[in-house]
Amino acid sequence: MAGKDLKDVKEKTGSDIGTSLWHRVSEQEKEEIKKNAKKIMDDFGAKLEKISVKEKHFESGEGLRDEGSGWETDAEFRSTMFSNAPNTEDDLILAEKGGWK
Amino acid sequence: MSLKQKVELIKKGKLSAEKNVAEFGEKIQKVNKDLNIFLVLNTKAIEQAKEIDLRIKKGKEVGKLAGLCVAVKSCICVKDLETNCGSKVLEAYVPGYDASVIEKLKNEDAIILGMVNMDEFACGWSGETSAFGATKNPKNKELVAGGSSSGSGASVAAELCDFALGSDTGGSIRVPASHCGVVGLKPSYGSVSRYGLIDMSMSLDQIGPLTNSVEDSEFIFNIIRGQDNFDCVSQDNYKVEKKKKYTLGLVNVEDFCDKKIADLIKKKTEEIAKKNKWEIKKVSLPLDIGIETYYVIVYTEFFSATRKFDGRRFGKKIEDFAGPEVLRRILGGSEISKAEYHGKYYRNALKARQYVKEQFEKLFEEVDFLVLPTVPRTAHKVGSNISLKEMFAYDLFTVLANIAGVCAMSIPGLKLNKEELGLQVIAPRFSEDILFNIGKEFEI
Repeated sequence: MAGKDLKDVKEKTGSDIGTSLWHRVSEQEKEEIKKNAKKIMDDFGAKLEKISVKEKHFESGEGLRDEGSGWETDAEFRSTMFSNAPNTEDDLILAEKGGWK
Repeated sequence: MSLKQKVELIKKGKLSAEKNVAEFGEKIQKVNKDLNIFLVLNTKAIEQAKEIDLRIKKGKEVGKLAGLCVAVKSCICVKDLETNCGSKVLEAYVPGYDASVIEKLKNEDAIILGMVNMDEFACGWSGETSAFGATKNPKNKELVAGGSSSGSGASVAAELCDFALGSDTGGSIRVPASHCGVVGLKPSYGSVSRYGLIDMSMSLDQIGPLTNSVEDSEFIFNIIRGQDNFDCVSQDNYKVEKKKKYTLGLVNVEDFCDKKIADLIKKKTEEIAKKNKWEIKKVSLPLDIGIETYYVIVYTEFFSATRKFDGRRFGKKIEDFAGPEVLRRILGGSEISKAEYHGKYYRNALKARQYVKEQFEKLFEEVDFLVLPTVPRTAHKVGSNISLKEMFAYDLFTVLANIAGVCAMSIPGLKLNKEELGLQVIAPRFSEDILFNIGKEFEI
């Protein structure tokens, strides 16, 4: 049966972590990475400092696009968002500063 | 068979959408364990295919992509499918909405087959930084598939889907396309909506297709391109090119890659130019500052983009669960965006970007498009000891198109020591039509 084949494949495939460059990073390694990253950026930054270009500023309406007539609100997304919100009032989501603490 | 031809077969009832999905499903089942391409499969794909078949049977209208199967890079949000960015950080993240490109594909009755592997948060060059293991190259399993859209390139090369979507910030579509021997298009900045793309670097990212041919690439691009009110930089500025006789710029790359690669590209370009009576001009690009400009921008913007992964809103805190390459970019970005360095790094990189843009503008006054290799090397062996400097060099020929916002495409067909090597063509912003016209000549 054609339909059966795809369903039989595990929804999430097994990982093959042995071949990856990914690993959990210890706090000590984080410090080393931070130092190395800064050094890379210092080297790159030093090279870029030598480029002399006059900066341009865009202040006019040049480059503005025509926004068209807008879009229809996605009712489903709206309802999902509101149902996920802990506190709502009419069309508003009520948030409290630091409420997650 | 082209994608258009396949859709025609499906519409005429000569091939069912259900059979199309099932055949890919069988292949995935056979090879995925070895190649590590698909991370998540859409278990509703068969159901969706049946519904399309039923509509065709009843004589109802179906979309331009009816029954075609697409593999999606795991950083492009698909409703109800885990979009984990190749990371443990987002392992449980299931979006409640579709990215605009996905919505466009679904509106045309394409079937999402599943989410494919990628470098973690698109931070990688080879497909090896994924927290779910490296993607293997279907052309040679000992080799990397290229990154960061490793699963997208490999899924097309292994014929596990009709086409795939990837994202390209500095070469992430074109590098795997080059390594896997498929066509990879990096559209102009603003051609395709980024809404629903989990961003790495907002001023450089673009979503694009990976396909088996230039014709298929054009077909998919014409469906996903265009202005989207959810992405303020997207535009409808597509230019149609009627020209038949072109002047091309052959980029001098001899100082930046193996001479054999430079010679292969030169030979192929001269052959195609002669056949089509195109004029060739030798030109230079600011290749010596591309990597530096790119990484300063990426580190800064990626640090900013990842502040939302604080463990409260999406999955886990990124600093606690990300791998070394992602952390390098976050920690480096955090350092250089400190107030005390104001004007030193990012601002200089933006100045350099302006310089690069000006160089491209000057070049495109003289030539219609540029030709150079996609990658300065062929794919390396999975797990081999590659230095960071060598990894950076992977993007040497691809980053400039992102920095300048122009469009570029990797076309397969060349081989060096039996390994795939892509030829890259770059055209002015919103001139993808030139890429399609000339790309068809190069892929013959």
